[in-house]
Amino acid sequence: MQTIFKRSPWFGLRVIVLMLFSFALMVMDHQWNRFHQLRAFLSVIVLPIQYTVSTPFKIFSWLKNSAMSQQQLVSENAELRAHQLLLSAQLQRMLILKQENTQLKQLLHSGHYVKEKMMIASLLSVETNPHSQTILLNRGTNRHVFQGQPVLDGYGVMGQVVEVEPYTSRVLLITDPQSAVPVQNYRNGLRAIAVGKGPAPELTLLYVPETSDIQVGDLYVTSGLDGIYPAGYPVGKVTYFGREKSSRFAEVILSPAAHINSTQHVILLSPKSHVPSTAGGKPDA
Amino acid sequence: MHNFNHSLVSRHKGLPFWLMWIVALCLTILPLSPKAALWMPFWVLGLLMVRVLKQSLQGQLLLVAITGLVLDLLHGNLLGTHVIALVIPLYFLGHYSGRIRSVTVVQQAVWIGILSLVYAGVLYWIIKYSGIGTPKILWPAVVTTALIWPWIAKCGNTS
Repeated sequence: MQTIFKRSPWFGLRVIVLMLFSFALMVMDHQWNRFHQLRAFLSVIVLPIQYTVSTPFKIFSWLKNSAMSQQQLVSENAELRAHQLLLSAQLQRMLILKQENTQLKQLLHSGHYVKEKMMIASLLSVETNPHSQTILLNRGTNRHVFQGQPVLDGYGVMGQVVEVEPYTSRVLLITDPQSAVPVQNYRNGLRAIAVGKGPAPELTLLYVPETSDIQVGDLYVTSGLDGIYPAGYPVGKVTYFGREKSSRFAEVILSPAAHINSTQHVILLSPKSHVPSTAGGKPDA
Repeated sequence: MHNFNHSLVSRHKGLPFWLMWIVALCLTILPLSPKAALWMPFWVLGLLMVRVLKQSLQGQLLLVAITGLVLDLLHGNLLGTHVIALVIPLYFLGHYSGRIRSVTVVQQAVWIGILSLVYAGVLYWIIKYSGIGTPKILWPAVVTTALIWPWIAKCGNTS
């Protein structure tokens, strides 16, 4: 066993060189877009670690589902059938509304009909690093995932893809303080910007005048003005609306519509086609 | 009083170092609630500290560089962030290793706490000024790293 270590005269220099090299790497990673290709290549190396961590949780979830009793399954099945019936009824009404909307858009010579393509992805891991609120999905460039792609769950907007690697992609959640989503009030159309309040699972609206017509329980949906999130997807509901003493603006807190902490599967949205509308054209059914 | 020198001479057969290294990396990205994640110890730093106390930093620079890069890839940080954050406290640990090895485990835990604070501080500073991510307070992780040090030291020495 070595108890007294001989210090090489070049050791300090080697440490400084390593730090300078790391600093250079950071600058290149930050500034140089081509560096992302190297990063994507290197990310494949850590993929086994990510799968190793997520596998026990998936097995546990599978076992939990497998252990459900017959009675539970029958009861859940009945509940789902009732829910499906309700949704079918709502869908019938939606089809009529969609047709009406299309006709109105044609009358107004509105720009585009946007049809979205959807892809299901599973959560590989949730980022526990307190510096950022991100999740890792099991879809990457191999499945045509792209940077800026909106991500939803069955209830609302979850975030957008910020980093794409060959087999995985990282999603910045809307609750991260670096995330900003243009939204509008579903009741009265009032527009605002919703930013995350992470690590708290909440959002806040920026620069909302105190006199705004906002009520607790109001639903905010995406306005589509940023060109990233398509319009009309639920973002969150107002849980607090009050005056800030130190500011001219009101404080508005939203609770995210998406089940950010419990979702296992998410939907990746991508505009399938941008079909220019023509007067008298066939409505997009 | 049990001290580090005593545990150094123990020759128990334990997990090989590379396996403990992988386990530490897995523990780092374990999905936890945001509140619990704040108290997650710096597993990888702890393991490297044991290694440096045992074998000095001189032969471990490549291991530190690789570990830092892997942590950056796992966390989605700029490449090099964790290398710098690891090298600084480990350099000081290597410098004062003689003194730290000769004190009791409790006193070692205090040293480890201080060096973990340096690690957390460097990480906080880099993330804040690079503009990638939002830095948060990391002191709970510093406290837990110091608290679990006796256990990490014991596990690390049996490898």
